[in-house]
Amino acid sequence: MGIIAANRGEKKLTAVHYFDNCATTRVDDDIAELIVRFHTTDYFNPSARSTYSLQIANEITAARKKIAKSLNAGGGEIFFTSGGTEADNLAIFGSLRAKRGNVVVTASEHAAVYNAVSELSNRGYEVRYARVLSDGHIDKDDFVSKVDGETLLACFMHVNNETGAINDVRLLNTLVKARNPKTVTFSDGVQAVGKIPVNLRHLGVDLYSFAGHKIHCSKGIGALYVRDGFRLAPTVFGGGQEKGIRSGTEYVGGIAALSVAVERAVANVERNAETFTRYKQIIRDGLSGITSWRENCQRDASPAIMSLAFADIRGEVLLRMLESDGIVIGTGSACSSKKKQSRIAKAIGLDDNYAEGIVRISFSKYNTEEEVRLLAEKLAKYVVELRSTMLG
Amino acid sequence: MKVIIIRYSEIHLKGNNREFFESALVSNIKTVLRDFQYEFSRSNARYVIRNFDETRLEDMIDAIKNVFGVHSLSVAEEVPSDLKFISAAAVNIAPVSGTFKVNTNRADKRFPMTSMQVSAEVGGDILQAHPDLKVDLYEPDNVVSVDIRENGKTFVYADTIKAVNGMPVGTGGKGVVMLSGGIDSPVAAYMMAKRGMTLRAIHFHSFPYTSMQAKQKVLDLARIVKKYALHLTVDVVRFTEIQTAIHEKCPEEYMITIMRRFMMRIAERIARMHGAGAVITGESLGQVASQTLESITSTNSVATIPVFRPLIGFDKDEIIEIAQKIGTFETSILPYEDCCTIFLPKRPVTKPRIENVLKVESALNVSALIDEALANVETITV
Repeated sequence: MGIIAANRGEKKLTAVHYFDNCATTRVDDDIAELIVRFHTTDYFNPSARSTYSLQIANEITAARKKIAKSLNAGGGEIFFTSGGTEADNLAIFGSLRAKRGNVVVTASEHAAVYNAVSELSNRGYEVRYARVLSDGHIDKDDFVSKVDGETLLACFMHVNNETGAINDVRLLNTLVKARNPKTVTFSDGVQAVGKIPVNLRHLGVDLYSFAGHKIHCSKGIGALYVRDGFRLAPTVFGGGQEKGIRSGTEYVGGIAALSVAVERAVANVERNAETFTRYKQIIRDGLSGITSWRENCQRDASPAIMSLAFADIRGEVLLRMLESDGIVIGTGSACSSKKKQSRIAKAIGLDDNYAEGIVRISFSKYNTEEEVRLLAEKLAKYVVELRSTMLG
Repeated sequence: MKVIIIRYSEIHLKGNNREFFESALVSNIKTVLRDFQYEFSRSNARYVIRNFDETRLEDMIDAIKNVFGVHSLSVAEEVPSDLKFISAAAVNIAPVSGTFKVNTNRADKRFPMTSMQVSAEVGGDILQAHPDLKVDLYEPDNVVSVDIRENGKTFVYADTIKAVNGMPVGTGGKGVVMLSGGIDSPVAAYMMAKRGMTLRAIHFHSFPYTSMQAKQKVLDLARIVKKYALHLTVDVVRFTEIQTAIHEKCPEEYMITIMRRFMMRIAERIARMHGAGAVITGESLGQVASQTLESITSTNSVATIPVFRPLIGFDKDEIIEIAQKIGTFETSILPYEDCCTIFLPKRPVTKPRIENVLKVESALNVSALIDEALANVETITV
């Protein structure tokens, strides 16, 4: 039952205006059909001995190449996983060979990286937390200064999932490698691939993760880029699929779908960026009559993400008020909304009266200008209403 | 044949009312066993369950031991009252090391040996089978019990499983418990069910200020409480309009005091509608601003039926301990706002004076707000 409907005992309510595309996206119809095809028609196990199986194995190879080509990597560098979280964990736990040393990370990382790295500290590694600037960007100087001869791994996300801040991954990689060429560099690209230009060779990192469901593919499929020549150890053992790095019968439908989704999203990055930039302006204009709000990241931000903070408002309440108009937005990261305080709110040093008023609007190609205008209008309306209620 | 022996607690203290308490207990036991096949019989001061699926024994025991009024359980072998069978069963269930004694109760006086003789014989057989065992009549690690019944059958058992005690639900009247979603109120509900109360629950919901997840959490808690309370219906009261009205018309520091008075009035109205004679809250003296003596006085003064506060003298640690025992803690600590925290003032009054409260409250049309809230109750059977 829909969320509002359940509250009011009314009929099922479906979200019509979806602006939480950082949490997940609607799967493209043809991609959904493609996935089904690999369950009902082309369901053979790619590792079995029949000719049918060989055809399926070839589909996987083709998908790998297609993804690699879209992101300027080699086909041998793409390893499929069950999603972003698994790719992140594989990167972190599969790259550490030394028993001792330190890992450098920031508090702005997604929970899949942050909590995996926290686990390393339980296992005896030293974890060093670098600062985040007030708009969600990694403080490069602080980050690099924490890297030394003992640094085994440096994790710096590409696009911050809460504020949209785009980090200069190429520069961070160069600076980290200059201080310690042996340090493994890993970037979480879950909010970057298909949303901003990603050229893996150019970025230069050893490891880079991304997920299908953020770009109109299904949940349950993601990948880790492993730079050619980099030796990664498996964390899952079994039949030796994915060159032994990630055993388990391949999710063939997901893999084929991911290749279509990546290729499509990458091809549309520029056009979408233009559209989304216009959408952001519509929202800014809509809020022009409102006081005491800020756009959390204005410089080098992903066009797909707009993080706003309103003083004296609880973002969650605003979210639920918008639901009554069929509008869905996000607050911070859906993956960590079960935690009380946003790490990012803390990390970017928001004032207390703004800290609870963060909302995240994230766009996809399915959004229309008309519904962005509706969002802008309702957002302004409810902020005024809520302030008059909450402030009395 | 394996049987389950159920012993009951305080009920045996009741004189003429005994049948009332017993029939409630039996009915409650049958309620928790509704998904099982078995034969149930009452015998002197205990119940016996026979002919059940032994692979589901653990589940049955888990269900029965949480029924209020049950004192303890034993899983026994039922054998013909013949020393040869009794000994064989005893050897079978006896421990293999440590100390033990045999305890015999001979209700059937036709049995040709005395209790002492039976204990000695059976103990001897057990020792012979398990040479590592030692007899200790005073502080044994294990007791093997032999109960020779009048019907020619004997129960032989080694373990006694402690149950929850208390009074059978349905024998202590009916109460309406305010469930907030926090740690305390489910424990308060449990405590009153333990004294035999039939419960109904009320939750105050302030969508969109509180989320559907918060409401879901309360329903999840209610489901856990229901394991003990046996039947539970939750009335979800839409509280948004009342809260915003208070917020608009009353000074911030009186927000909670006034809100609690509304909750109490609504709880009492719902109690009366459903024939309940008490309101139950999870208040613990001094825990928060709304739980000082002065605050409780101000809330209590709108109630005309008894308000039970079973946790009033408990420390938070003690409440948490019970919450963990009954399985509500993990759900209670999920971080969803409840309606008490959403408009939380920075400095609530800790010692509201009743005359000030009345003055502040006079800005509101109390009865109209309550009627509106009661017209918007969603009743959910969990």
